Amino acid sequence: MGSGDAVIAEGLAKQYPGGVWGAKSVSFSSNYGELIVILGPNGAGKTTTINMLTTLIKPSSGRGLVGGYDIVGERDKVRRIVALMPQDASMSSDWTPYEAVKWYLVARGFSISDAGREARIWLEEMDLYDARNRLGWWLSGGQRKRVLAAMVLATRAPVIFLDEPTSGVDVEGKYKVWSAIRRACRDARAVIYTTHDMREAELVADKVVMIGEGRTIVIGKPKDLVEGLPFKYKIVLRGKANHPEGSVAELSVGDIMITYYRDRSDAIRALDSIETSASIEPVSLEDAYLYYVKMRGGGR
Amino acid sequence: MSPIAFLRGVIGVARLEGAWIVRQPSWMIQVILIMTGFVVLLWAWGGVKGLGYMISGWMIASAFSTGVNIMGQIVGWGRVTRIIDLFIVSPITPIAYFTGSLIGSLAIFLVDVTIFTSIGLLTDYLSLVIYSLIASLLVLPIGVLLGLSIVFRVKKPTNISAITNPVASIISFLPPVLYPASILPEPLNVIACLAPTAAGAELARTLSGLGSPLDPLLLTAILLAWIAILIILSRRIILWSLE
Repeated sequence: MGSGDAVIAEGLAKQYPGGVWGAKSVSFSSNYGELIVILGPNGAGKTTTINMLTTLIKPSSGRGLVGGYDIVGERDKVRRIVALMPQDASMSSDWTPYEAVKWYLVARGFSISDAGREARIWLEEMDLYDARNRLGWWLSGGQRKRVLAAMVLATRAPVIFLDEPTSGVDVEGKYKVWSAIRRACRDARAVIYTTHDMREAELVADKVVMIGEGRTIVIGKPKDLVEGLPFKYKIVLRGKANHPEGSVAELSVGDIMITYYRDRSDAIRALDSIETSASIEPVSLEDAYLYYVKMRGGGR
Repeated sequence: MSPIAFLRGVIGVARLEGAWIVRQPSWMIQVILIMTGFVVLLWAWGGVKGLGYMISGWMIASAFSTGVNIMGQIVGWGRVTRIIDLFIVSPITPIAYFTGSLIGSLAIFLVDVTIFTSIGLLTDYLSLVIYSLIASLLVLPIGVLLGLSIVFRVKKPTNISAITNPVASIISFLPPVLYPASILPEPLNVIACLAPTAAGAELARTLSGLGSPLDPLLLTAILLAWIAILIILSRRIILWSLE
């Protein structure tokens, strides 16, 4: 640990029985101490990619290395250095948060005293220490999710995979999870994290891997991806409105039309030509995603 | 994996997967009521000898169905909640995981053993209880391995118990487990004892002097053959991934 790539995915593809493709060609790499967010819509291949890299399923083609170990030929070695929080996993209602973290760590090889100490640290990190002895029955869905995140982050595994760890978690809870994940990264661990929430990706990622229809579309730092766009501002129009002037790109999503402008003055001129009320906003990672996936036809 | 890491794996899994035993104790009432009913039924119909057949048969059937059903429930529920993925993607070996799951849930079987030991002390069947316990230790791993051969191959995990429950019931109640093999005509009694539950129950009976038409060595050989075959096949049986 500490040198070289933590994760390398090269053209990973998975075809399920029946011919359905879960992923067609996913490629990226990750270093230790780095938080990579795999970003994509539902069905883009995020979970399939995670499942391949964590050895739960075998790729149909392509190559994957985790900690330098091949995900097919050295499966047991990979499993020794990774931990996974699966998508939609649910902790048992018969567990308390403290028991769940402590005994999961013991199962992974920690001594009972070390496991107890780590459980306390990570439950505090997740703001669950006061609820540590409460049975799962009495925890909210978001709290249960945070217990699972604590179980996984407490493992000290050099490579952590978190598949949509904050879905169903409230805003405050999300910040706790993100803070704990950043702490894991500071410990020189690699974190691979999936989400379809662009705002979340923009806030937490060191590097974003955008995937669509099973393929890697673009990789980069969130700031670089946004700054690399050929436009800087947008006007979002809802319902019936006349077409604004001077846009360099536009996109219709349902009854919403988004028009993009190179600079603020173009956007202001366009705004003056619109009869309904609208506002100018700077572009974000969401626009980068729409640009690469929808406008440039990425993934096809 | 070092022996200490293996032991920690077993302990950790046992504590987590066996938590329901402590947290949902109402299962014990069900077990005790059913057992009491059967004890009265067999004693009323068959007297003390009927009770003897019941002790050996019930302990064997309980060991077997504990093996099959515990694996069905724990793995099935683990697949539904995806908690099992946390264990698969870890240094925990499948043997440590299944041993821990079994130990964590063994209290179900221990309730039977405790009740029958009490009955054995009140009657002359203490040796039968001991021999039944020994035979149970051979039948239990067969139940576990058969359970595992089912649970990983059922596509929809919510259907697992719907398959393991009838399998456990058929193999526990149809062959001569709660009744003696001697009432079946030859060669049916020998064929019936190819079922691991029947071989286990007849072994306990013949060793304790209750009688059996089959040689105890043959019955032991049947059980050991089951274990050997299932261990050899275990690499194919246990699917320690999602496919």
